[in-house]
Amino acid sequence: MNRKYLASLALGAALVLAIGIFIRGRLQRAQPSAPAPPSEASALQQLSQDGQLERISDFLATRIAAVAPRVVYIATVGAAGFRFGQGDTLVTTLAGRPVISVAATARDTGRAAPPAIAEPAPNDWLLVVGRTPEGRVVSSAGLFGGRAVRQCDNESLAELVLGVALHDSFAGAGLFNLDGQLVGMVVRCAGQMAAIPMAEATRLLATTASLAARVWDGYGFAVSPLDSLARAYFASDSGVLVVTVRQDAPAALALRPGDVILGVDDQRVAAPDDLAVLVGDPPAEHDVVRRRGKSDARVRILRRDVVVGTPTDSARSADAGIRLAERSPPEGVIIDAVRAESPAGRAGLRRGDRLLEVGGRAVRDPRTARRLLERREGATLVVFERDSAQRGVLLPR
Amino acid sequence: MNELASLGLILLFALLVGHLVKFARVPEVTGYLVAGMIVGPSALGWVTHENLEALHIFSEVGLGLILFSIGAVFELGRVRAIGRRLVTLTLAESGLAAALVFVGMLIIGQPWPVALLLGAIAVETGAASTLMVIRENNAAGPFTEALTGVIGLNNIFALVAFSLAAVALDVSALAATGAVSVGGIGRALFPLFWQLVGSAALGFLVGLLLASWASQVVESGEILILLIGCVLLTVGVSTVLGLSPLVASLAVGATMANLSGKSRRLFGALSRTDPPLYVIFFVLAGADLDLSLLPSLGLLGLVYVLCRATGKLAGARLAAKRTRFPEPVRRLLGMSIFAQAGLAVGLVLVTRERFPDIAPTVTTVVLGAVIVFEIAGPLSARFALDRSGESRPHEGGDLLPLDETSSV
Repeated sequence: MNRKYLASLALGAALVLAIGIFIRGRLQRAQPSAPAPPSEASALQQLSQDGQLERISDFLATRIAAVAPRVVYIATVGAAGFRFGQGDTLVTTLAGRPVISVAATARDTGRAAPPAIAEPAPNDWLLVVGRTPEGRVVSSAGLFGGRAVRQCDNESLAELVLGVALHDSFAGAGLFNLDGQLVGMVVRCAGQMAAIPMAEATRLLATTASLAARVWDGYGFAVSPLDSLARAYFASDSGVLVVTVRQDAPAALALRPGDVILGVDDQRVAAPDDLAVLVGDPPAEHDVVRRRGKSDARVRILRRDVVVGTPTDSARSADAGIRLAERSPPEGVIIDAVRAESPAGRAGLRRGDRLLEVGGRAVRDPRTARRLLERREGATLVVFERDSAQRGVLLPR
Repeated sequence: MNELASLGLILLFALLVGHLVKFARVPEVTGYLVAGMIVGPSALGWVTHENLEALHIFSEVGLGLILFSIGAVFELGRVRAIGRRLVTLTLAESGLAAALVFVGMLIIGQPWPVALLLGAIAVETGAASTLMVIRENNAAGPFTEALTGVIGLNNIFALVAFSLAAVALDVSALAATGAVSVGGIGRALFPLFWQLVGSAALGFLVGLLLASWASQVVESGEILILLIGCVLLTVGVSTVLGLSPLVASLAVGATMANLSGKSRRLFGALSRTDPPLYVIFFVLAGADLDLSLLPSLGLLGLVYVLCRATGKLAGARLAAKRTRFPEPVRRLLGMSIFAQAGLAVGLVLVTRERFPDIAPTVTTVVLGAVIVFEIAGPLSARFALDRSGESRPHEGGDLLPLDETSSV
């Protein structure tokens, strides 16, 4: 092929690349920081000045639509509290604090960075965007009116005052500014909804959930205090109820949801705070007195990081008679639907949970499950699996 | 397990399964994919998600080398002879597959953006597995030549179709917010231009470098270093610049085939050395298949698989007849282009990034269907090659270089 012809082709190709790289750079710079460019607030201001109410509500709807895909309802309400780290789970719950139940707001898309957190300024428009367990988006928008202090039972919380009514379905919803930055979230406070800034939510976690989070991270189980129903059911005045056990944790060899921990290393356990002995310095092995059903037993639990190999390996290599391997064939029955006002709905069971045990009896097929549920007398312990963790709840009659 | 041990395990296990499947007269590539599924996270878990992530680079390079090999088909002389007919043929099979999937999805009640993206992704035919079957069968002749050309073009068309669908979605989103502007449309169109023209330009430049350097190199070891260096450079730069490594590698191969008198030697050197890389590529592809998606495919997946297969079969048959391709092409081409992988998975990732709200449906359907097509594709391609009479026994049991097979 002619050399000159080739040279001009090469020059053309280099030119195409150079122009492309230039345009690409410009476009990347112009790309809005997710999900909206910073000029949104000024665009809205312009609309307000023009007095075009209809266009303002259209505008807010657009902004909500931009934020909504990033908001999910978190299926897992774990004990580890708030998580910003991995980018997928933003908020779970404030463990051990029934006063403040944070359901869910999260950034969904796996690898994306967590949303930027911002401080709202007076007269900023804030978007309240949340999701119901069914995946429906609930949203509203209101002006930020300033800060206040709200009393939630024994807890004083910094509150963001919004010009919008927060109804129950907003529990766990996120508060975003027009640029899509997270500024706070909606929590349940003494039976009502309150919008709190992210800094406050983080503070709550640091002060309240750290022990539960460390037990969860270290041993892979979570507990709750025994309420009057549970006390009567387990015939025990002290102890804590194991509610969730990670299947891949070594603790799963010794504990399962529905067990009551009565003591650790010869110390009595009366409340979740008494588990502090587990998270101190070594030893990383502890003797636990556990009540399962009516029988008590002394079992040993290991911290996850001292187990040789991965937790899964240890679980697999353990005596097969102790517990089923992680990859055992599916057992239990998947729950198709739960009526909100039914005992199951009130106990927190949800669609998609895998029902494993009812009143200590294993559930193998829908027929057994129905039979066991129908024949139950009084409160019954139900063990189910959700997101690779087994949980137990007491189902009221 | 660490990455090196995983890699060793992959190679040995794949070799074993490759031997075993030969008894069942199944293509080796299917064996490698199955081996991948077995050792992957879906089954035994010897190769973990973390391993896959770390070994991802091998997949990229493997796909680059495969597309580079396919680029050799686009030699100007050959393009002049059958180029127009090939384009028509590829357009027909791609267009019909896309149209049927689009309509099928609409009929079962999917929203139009989902239908559009799935239609565009349905166009793609997996280049790697089909090419491996051609190699394994040592096939050569007009049918093999048409098949290789169609695969190369098909991947470009898939990229164009997907980019256009993405533009349509972007523009409709802009229209919904009343913000359609020339700038907005330009922004939406830029990826299409960049992925095609930019990638071709990069491929041409690297191909030029390769061709002019190759004339100075004598030793086959050096030729190999040059070649692999150029493919790595192409894939790496494409990734950095957001270009399509696929199109760029194809362009390197095409430029090389047209400009270097030594192209046959080069492609020959490559095909004697690359089998381990391809084995790794296919086993990783197999391990990456999430078998748990299969049951969730449901009606949506069934419609996708049936519509795509029907479109490919019927489109290729009708167009081959119209463009007067020989009889084997008319009868057999459709069934030899079922395979779907590489680019389709890449397009799913793009969908997740650009259209997160509809990505779950698209991801489940495509990744689920890929399992079906990656198993069925090589089997039907091998059947077609055998029936076309172009499969030949290997001389001395060695795989012959692509250019020798496709230019006889």
